[in-house]
Amino acid sequence: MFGFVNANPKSLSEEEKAIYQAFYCGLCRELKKRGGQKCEILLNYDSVFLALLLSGLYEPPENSFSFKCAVHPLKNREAYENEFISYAADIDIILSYESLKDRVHDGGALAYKKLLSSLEEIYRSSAGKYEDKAKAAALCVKKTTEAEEEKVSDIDILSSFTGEMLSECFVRKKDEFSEKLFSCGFYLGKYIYLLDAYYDYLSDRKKHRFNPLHLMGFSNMSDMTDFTEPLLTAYISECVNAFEMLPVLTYSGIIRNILYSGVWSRFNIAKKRYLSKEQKK
Amino acid sequence: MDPYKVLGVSRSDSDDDIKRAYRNLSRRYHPDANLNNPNKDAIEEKFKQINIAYDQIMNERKGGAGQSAGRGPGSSYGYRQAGFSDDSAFGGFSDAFRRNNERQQQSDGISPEMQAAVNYIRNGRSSEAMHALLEVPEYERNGTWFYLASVASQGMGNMANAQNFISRAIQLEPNNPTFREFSERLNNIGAGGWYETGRAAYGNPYGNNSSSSWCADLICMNLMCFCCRC
Repeated sequence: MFGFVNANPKSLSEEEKAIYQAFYCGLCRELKKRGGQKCEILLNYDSVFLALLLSGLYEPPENSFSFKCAVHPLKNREAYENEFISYAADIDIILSYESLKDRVHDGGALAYKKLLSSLEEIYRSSAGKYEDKAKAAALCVKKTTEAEEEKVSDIDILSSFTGEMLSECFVRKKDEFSEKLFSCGFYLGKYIYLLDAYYDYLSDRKKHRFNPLHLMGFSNMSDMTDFTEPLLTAYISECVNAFEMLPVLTYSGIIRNILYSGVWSRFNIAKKRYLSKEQKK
Repeated sequence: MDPYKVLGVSRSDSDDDIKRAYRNLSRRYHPDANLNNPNKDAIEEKFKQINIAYDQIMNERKGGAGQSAGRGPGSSYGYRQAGFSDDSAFGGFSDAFRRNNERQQQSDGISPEMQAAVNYIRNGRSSEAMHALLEVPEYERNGTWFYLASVASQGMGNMANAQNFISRAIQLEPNNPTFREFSERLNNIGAGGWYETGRAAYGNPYGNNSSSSWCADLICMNLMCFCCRC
């Protein structure tokens, strides 16, 4: 995953910030349980979001405990523990492994290769627990790679592969919420794919990597932004639509903060960079 | 049956009230919680009714806010969500189409493939609708064709294509109110609609402070460890 789905702390209350932090630390500890320090590096905001959403929906029994974090040895930290945080950790490992494998395949640095082989065993254990999710993740990478090799420029099609992967991961079990979670994950995945393309627009060009936005022949960055922003809005608002159909009451403030505001933070950084560069010209 | 009565709520209650009432009832009547109950079948029936009522209310409310009800494409999960077939959820697709259809019949009629597409769309089967539409040879593709292709694309979550198709439909028939209505609805989902209002309310973050505040030290430390190790 990409870590695009973060919160905007400015519009979170103090209490909400503490909850977000406790989910973050809880997920970090789950990752550490699975593979020690090298797993912590996989921790990302997208998985924190998944844990929050599923915990808010199912309201599972939750353990809260304080611990001493090696990174912040002076103060006690608060962390949560529940079955969905644990689930999100396994999903995090599965998706990170696939994206790392993809990067190595694309001729990534030796460091990636080493990390990948050190994750092999941990990946197998998580993938063994959730075979369907692991299959969906592998299929997404395969379909995306094939489409990119064929120079497919249809963003709706390209983004749907990430959408399908995430929708599978959002559905932990088949029940009355499945379809809505599916839809929520699908559109969030599409959003993430397009945002990734936007964010990497310049660096992909430099490194001669495939980027669907390159194929559309924009004459400048503001045209490119004018195309991307409404489409991102269309995808994420469908995701919010599906979320609002779910009877989520717990953590709903934090989840809305992420879906309405946090998801735009990386977009805003890139937009600012692109447009100010253009003005200088 | 009045869905509000099923959930024991009133029309003036907030969305959160509805969600709360639904949660309470569904917990009580959930089949998993009543495995040994002698009235198992009756309880399961009640559970179904609660879910139908909840969906109905939420869809109605979405319709009011001018939101769409995209079905989520390719979903393999049997749970039926309101899609284009549901007039209240989609703000009257069938109605809009009928008006359009009447006009069409006066001029050049409607091909069987397009009629099939309409039926698929009504049943929330957008990708089948698209398949049917693609059977129409290119020289026969008129405004209505592009309009239907736009509706089907939106249903599949293909927002960029939906936008292209509806623009083309409007180009071909600039005065068609159905096409304009749909285009406005598409754009309402996107820029300028309810989502933008929410986005403004929650603030527009510039990630510098937000993306690093939760545990920057950890990430830096790990990167260092990671680099040293390799």
